Amino acid sequence: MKSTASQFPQNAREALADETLQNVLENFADGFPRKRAAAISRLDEFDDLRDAARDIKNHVLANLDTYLTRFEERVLENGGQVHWCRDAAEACQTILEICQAANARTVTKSKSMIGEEIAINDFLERHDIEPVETDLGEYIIQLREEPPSHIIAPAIHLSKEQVAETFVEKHTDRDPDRTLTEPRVMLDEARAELRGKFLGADVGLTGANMLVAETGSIATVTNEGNADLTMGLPRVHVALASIEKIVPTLEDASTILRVLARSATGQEMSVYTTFATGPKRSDDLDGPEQFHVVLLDNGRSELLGSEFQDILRCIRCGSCINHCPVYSTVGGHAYGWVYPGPMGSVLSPALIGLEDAHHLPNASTLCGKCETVCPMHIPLPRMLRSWRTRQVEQNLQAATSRYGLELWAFMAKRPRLYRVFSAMASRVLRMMAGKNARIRWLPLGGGWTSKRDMPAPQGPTFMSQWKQNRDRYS
Amino acid sequence: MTEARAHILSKLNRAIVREDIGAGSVDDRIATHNTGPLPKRGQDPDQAALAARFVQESDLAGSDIQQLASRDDVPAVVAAYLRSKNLPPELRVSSDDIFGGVPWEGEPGLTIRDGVVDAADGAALSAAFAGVAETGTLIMASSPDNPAMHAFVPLVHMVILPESRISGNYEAVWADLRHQFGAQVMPRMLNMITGPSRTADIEQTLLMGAHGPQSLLIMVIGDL
Ligand code: SF4
Repeated sequence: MKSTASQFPQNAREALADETLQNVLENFADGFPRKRAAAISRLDEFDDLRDAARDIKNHVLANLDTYLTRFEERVLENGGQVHWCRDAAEACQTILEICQAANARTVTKSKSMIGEEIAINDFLERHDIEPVETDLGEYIIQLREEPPSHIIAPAIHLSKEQVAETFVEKHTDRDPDRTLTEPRVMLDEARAELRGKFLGADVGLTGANMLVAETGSIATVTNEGNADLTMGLPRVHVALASIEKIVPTLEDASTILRVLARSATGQEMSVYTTFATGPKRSDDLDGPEQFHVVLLDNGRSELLGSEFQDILRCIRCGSCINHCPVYSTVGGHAYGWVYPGPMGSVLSPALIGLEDAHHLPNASTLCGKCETVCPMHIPLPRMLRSWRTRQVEQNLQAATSRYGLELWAFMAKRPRLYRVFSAMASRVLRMMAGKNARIRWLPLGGGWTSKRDMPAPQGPTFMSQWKQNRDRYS
Repeated sequence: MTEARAHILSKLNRAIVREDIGAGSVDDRIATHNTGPLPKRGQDPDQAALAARFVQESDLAGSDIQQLASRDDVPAVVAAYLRSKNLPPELRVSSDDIFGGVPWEGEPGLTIRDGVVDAADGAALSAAFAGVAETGTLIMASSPDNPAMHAFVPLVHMVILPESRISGNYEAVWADLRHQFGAQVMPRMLNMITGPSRTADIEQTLLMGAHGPQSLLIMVIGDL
């Protein structure tokens, strides 16, 4: 997917002006956090499980090469194949060759963020193979030729009216005047459309939430069951996974599953967790004849041993996104690439380069909510700050903030001047604000005041209050 | 491809801040199957309490659940369930041994087919490997006698679960699995199923029956 991360400010402005999106986001901000809190309140051990989940991933990352080779051995023993790919181009080429060797014309796909990362759909289409997204949200946005706006709810930015319009436009075999107002009717229509695709596909391409080193299994987690139909019906199953998805054993997988769904959707468990191990066995009545695992690095090995290593623990639950005040104001598309929200603002600069993604680490108030709700204890704010430090080192911040900070530093080093100026500024702001202490418009501050009022400073400055009351505090 | 493999592995090898354990200990770590913290929910004193918890949790997950005294009750329950879903009295049944003793002749109107499901099937019945009380989760192990697609293709999925196969947590099931299949061996597909298929992708409206079954009936059988 082509990145527009470098246009974040512009994207965000457009998102704020998009009324439909703002309505949808209002609904979003409340749902997920409430469900997560309810699920966690039912499980006393949640915090212990988070610690354990973090430790599992840290241990894996400290032995990643060994674990990957153990996983590979098991896959081969079970009759599967493993393809190691350094980057998106190698992964796309590998998948294409598997499809071509199978004479594939259509490929069903279950949701895979790595698939988005390597833009596999565009690549297959260019080679005359039809990729069909089967997760309902992904299916809708594929019809609309849009990227996902959330890692677990890809069509969260759309209203049901928009979904209905898309179905009327794209499902051309159906009566154009049919009534499509209820989500139930839309779902049944999509289910019927996709049935034939599931049954007719030559290759099924899934992601993988985990790779189990003990057994050589790939694990998928869905609520719809689409991953299972995708891997179970076609002749060939290809699982696309990045190298950090390893867990040692089924027990470790269980610990991670206990925090995953609760953090993501507030379910105790997602409906379907599937461990797939190798191709169809001799007497099996169903299952694929070939089982391939495409192992993708694409920049992850660079993060190992760096100050960004902790992001490799991420299990893509989406909790940090669901709780992010910036995401819930601008939505996912503003971030401009595959991964939105706090985890995206940490990961994207590493994967597409800080130059392109340099706005993203700034798209955060550093309120810290993301780290608080991350089941893997990933220190997202710390890593956002690390990216900001690198921005300064590489001279990537905007000129206005650079000069602004220089001016501030000049004043801050001269306390007397600073005090006189801040007392003056505070008086002026209070005058501008009038009775209700809100400022509707500020010279040079339009970026703030066009969307919200600026609260006026309350009372005298800290320094003058300190002087007056020093005796009381000492 | 081999070049990419060597390249990735050598990059990892250089970058890793190595825990002092080495390859031998990775194998030990895999072989010991240490569990993480096990939730109290699921550590019930006896089988009856586990079964009660399983029933409660699967109900919360949206499954339909019935506790039957024996296999003899299965045909009538199945027929009634199909009627309640407005489906014809037809059923694809896996060839698991458990179905050997089911007296289908008691429901002469019901057509039973074996073999693998196809798109025309409205309902399928299969046998669970285990049930997990902690979250009301079914564990299905695929085999020639229990094709995995029974659980995904039809609109209605029904499952027989002997009460004796209900465990407290997932870890207990993995231990059973290793016992039955051998260490490091898995059924080709192992499906953990918690409720019927669903989606909330259109305006966060929760709807059942996205691609998999719209209804899941679990029949817990006491005497098996
Ligand atoms: S960073 Fe944490 S909260 Fe965010 S998606 Fe990853 S695991 Fe979930």
